[in-house]
Amino acid sequence: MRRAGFSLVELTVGLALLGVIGAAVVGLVQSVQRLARAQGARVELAEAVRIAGTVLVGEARVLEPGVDLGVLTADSVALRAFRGAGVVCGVVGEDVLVRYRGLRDPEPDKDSVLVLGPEEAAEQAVVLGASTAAPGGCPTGGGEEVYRWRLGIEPPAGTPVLLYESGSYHLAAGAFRYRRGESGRQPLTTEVVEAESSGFRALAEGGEGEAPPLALEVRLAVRAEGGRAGWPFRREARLRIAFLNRP
Amino acid sequence: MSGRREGLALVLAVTALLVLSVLTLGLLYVATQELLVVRAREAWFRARLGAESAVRAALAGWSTAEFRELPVGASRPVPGAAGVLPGGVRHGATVERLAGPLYLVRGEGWTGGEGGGSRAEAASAVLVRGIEPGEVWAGFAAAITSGGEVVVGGGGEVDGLDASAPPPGWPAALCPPTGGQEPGAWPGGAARPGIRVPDAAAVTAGDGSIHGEPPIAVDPGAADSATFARLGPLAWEDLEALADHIAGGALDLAPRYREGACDTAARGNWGSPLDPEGPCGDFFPLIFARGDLTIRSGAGQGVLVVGGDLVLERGVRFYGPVLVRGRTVVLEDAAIYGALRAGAHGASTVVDDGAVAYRSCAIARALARSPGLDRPLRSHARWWLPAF
Repeated sequence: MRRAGFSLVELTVGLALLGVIGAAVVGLVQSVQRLARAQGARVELAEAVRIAGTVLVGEARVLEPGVDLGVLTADSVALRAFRGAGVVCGVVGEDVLVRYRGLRDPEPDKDSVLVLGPEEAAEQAVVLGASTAAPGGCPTGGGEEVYRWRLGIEPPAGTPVLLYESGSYHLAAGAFRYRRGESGRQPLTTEVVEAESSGFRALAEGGEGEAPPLALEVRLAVRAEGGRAGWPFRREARLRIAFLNRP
Repeated sequence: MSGRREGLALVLAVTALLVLSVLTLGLLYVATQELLVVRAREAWFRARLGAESAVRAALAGWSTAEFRELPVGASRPVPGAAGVLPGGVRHGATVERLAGPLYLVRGEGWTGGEGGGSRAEAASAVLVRGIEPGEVWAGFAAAITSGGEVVVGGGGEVDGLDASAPPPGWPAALCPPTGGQEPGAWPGGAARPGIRVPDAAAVTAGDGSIHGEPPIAVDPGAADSATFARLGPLAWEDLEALADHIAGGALDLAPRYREGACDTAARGNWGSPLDPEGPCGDFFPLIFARGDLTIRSGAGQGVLVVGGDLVLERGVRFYGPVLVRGRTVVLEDAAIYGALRAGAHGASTVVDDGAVAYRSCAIARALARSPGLDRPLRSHARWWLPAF
């Protein structure tokens, strides 16, 4: 009499096939996971390079190197970080009204203002003593807001002003970081920066010297583990940011 | 025999396919995100390029005269700066009048949106200094201002009295109003000194004539060598950079035409003061000579700047202000209608019926119409500004 079910041979073959297929699937899954992790690591490295490039290009390109660029070492660069720009449009008592457009609102006591006169010699940096919004104080264009600023001086209407904070960029503790004034260094990237292969350098005509630099060079080497130990991903980038305001 | 088989192979295959599909989708997602980030960054760079292009286009076609009448704080789009770069980046620029002679050129670039690409916008700005004619005018306070000796002899004539009369050959209608406060008026109506020098003993008047109010004005400031190295706000290197013509050596002047229009690039074409309503009648070039310059014949107009000595030979006419760092020699029947500022090196001479006559009309027209003085000036090392 024939019984329903698997024979021993069928079961053995079935289990063997299951084992082979299972092992193949597990291997495939692991490979794909490694691939995904590697892809993630590559994205992370690319992102770090992009952040450093975007931030520094936006920040450094419009600097006047002889004036706005501070101490530059192999792993840090201090600068005037411009956060907004405006035009004086009126005077109210001891304050001036400014049509302002910027990355953020002005912050008194932390920000300074560069007042640009008709001649270069008239450029003057002053502390922003007070700032309050003054909507309707002056006619504005798209994206502009009016603020009432206390500068300690009264530049005439039509005077351009630039809002800035003192800041510095660092390649420290494995990351690209920004430090506002004397506060802590905030990471702008994950900790993937190789300190020994990264750095800042000023490029001047005829090499580094007393002349104001023409460009800022940033070397950035980033490294991340791709999954297996001893199989790191590495990417190097060299940015040369030419100053638009070079002499 | 039944076609039905029992087993797990199909289930396992489907499961494996599902796992593979999920993982592939994951990879695709990561790759897509990466692509989007790259595209966004590319779009930002392209928008920035568009903004900078708009600023550069505005500067390339710049004419201070077009924006001088804007009230402080007012702005105007620049028609020639609007356009589309290859790849669909749109851009445009506006000019805002700031305090004093300053102007803010703001360029904006936009990309993406219509074709489904990444959207981005960026702005760029440049601080421009315009040249106000009054700033240049202030340096010409007499028919001749000299830091050194001046010799007027042999029938030579220096005239500061007839300051507001049109120069010979020009109808009065060509001259702008003078002496008033209204826009467009020029401070040229009053009689001027004939010669302004640091020391009266520096003037030798033989059988020449000097007319003016007074004929000779003594002003120690006339010897200030710094004033001979500048023209108003313009330093020497600015003058060379802005010049419409670079001249030197010996030259014959004559207007040149091409297809009925004034050929402003032609050598020796310094406008046509003797044909003020002709095609070159409105051409008043800024002419710069690094060293000595001798004009042998003909007539010209504009703003003449000479780094060495200037010699006007027989019958030469020049209409407009003249700045010479060395000495100036005006020979037989030659004439300058405008004003002359000469340096302290050697004696400037006006002899043999030569003449230097103050003419506010010629100075005003030259300063207002000179293409070189209408160009933007980079007065600050901080020329590009951050824009938000």
